[in-house]
Amino acid sequence: SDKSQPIYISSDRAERNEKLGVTTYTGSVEMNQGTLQIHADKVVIHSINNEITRIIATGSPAEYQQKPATDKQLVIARGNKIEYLLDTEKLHLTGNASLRQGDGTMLTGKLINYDTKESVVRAEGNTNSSAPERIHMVIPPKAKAEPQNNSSSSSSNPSQ
Amino acid sequence: MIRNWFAPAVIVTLTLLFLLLWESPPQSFFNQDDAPTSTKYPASILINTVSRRYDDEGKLNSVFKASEARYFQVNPRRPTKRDYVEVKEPKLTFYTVDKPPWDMTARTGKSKNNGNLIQLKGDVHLWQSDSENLVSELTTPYLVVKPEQQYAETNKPVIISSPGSTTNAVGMKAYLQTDTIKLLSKVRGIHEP
Repeated sequence: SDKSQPIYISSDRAERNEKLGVTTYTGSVEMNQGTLQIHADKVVIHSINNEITRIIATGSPAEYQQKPATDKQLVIARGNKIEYLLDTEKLHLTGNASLRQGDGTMLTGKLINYDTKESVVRAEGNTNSSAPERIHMVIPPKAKAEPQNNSSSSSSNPSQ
Repeated sequence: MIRNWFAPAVIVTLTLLFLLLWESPPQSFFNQDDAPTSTKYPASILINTVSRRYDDEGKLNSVFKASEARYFQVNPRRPTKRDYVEVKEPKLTFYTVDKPPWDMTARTGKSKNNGNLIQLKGDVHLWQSDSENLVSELTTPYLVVKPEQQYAETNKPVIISSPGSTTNAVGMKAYLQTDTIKLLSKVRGIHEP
């Protein structure tokens, strides 16, 4: 699993506050751990006893990408702010949030919470009366199963 | 997974190194009468110097060694802030009550401004081995320390590694009082799970 892989981080600058257990990477931040990839302007990593507990990425937008399991689809999440909680494996996307899966399913809204373990999504729009922002979801049609070509096909397909 | 970057201990170690250095030359070394006329020549030279410091309860606090320590007195008549100390191959072992000792080496060192500015040059290496022999260390070719401000910086490449984590960068600023370390550019980190 990704969790058993080393974490590679690169950035322009970094700051570590020993007392708070917080490390802040700024400037073209790239973070990789197995299939997990984060690209952001700034990544703040919270750790307790040197164990990472929370990762907060901000950008315009920040991007998170991961294949939660071998049998699951690639998930691409974007948002002005992405919070990843490692113990619960949950993602909180806020601000121009969007979540896209490998099969093209796409969800956008003001706020999206995604449980990567259970693949459960909860999204919220913006009920603010002056600039309401609703949730939008795109589910691509399932590709029709190709008819089995028996010995001879009786009808020719006009479009071919 | 992400290990700490042990900035505070680094500064404490270096601060002690030069408090030691600065206190080592008892006034007798600065003999007013036959002091040299210019700074080209050191007022005094110590070869293979070893200094041990003990705390109030008589416990060993640190051991400082240098193959050579040269004390330069700018004004022959009296010590001034511009006096400085040059050391070769400084080695310091620094003992703390609750943690394993810290070790520090460099090729050369220079202390100025009454020990308020310290430059360490050449293979500056600080390390600490814990009870399981796991080593935390910092290496850089050059390090400037300002003990009074409890601050250290370098504009050179720095490598900070501790069990399961290695971080490379160019340029570092370390602030002891706020327990903060800043890496100024080209930050590359690897953290084992």
